[in-house]
Amino acid sequence: MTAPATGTPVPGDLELLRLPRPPKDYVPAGWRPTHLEVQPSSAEKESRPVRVSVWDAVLTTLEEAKAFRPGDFLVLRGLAGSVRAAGASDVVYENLEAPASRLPGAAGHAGMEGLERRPGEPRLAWCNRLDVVAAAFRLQRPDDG
Amino acid sequence: MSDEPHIEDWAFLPVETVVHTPSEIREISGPGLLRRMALHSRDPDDRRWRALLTSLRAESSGARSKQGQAFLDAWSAAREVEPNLRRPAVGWSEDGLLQASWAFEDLPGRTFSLEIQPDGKLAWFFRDLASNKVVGSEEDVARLPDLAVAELTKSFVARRRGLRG
Repeated sequence: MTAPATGTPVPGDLELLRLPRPPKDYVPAGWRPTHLEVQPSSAEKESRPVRVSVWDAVLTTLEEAKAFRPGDFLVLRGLAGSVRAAGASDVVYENLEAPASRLPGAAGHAGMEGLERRPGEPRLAWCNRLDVVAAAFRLQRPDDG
Repeated sequence: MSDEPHIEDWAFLPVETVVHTPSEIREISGPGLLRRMALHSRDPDDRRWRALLTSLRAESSGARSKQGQAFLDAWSAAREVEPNLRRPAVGWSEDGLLQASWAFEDLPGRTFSLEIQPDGKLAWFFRDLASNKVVGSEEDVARLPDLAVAELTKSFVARRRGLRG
């Protein structure tokens, strides 16, 4: 499948997969994601614009997304529209480079924009802003199917 | 610090998790009994939590020693105030920070988080949408301040068995 061009907005009614890693060593019952799970990684902070990695769950199955990230991670799900409404400046497709771009499901790679700490932004304000965005996601548990 | 389990770690094990026969109990005592109790807990969640605490204590001799100890200190300080404090999600970030977060589906809009640096200093954050309160540290601090302990312990109390720490 041809990937939507980088920068194309992900439709709001599409579900996103977010796979933050490494996984938690312990997750209690009823836990939900926080600002910690939507912070840009060190590598994501280096790119411009800063995009926090997600996947369009229609173009990329969970199994396909897992293939891009060997190892363990949490699985979070949320709607693109909800993520925008919660404060991300946008959610856009982001084409992967070869050879990753040739793998099944590569077309669904996307990124959440506007989640980096702005120059001069107090830490608490940043945490608060990201915590609202994190609330748009829910943790997929092993028995969720 | 000893690798042996601490009595406070096991204080909330459900009684039914003790499955030893009288002869088995005669063979073990003290910390050995506590360790055996943990291994035999029927509750996978209990086992994972005990394993986490054990692994953090084991870090006391490794590169992550200050972070593990800082979390254990914060956990102990909070549990001293509120023994029924709920357990947080705990893990290491890609950048090597030890992170802990209290956030639950039955408490929307309420979050407490800790980020512990390799030197053991920590940053904390508390948000409660209902009271429109956001507090925390702008800079890393040496220990969890009393204000943080107060917000944590009054906000995340287990109301039924199985949710506490």
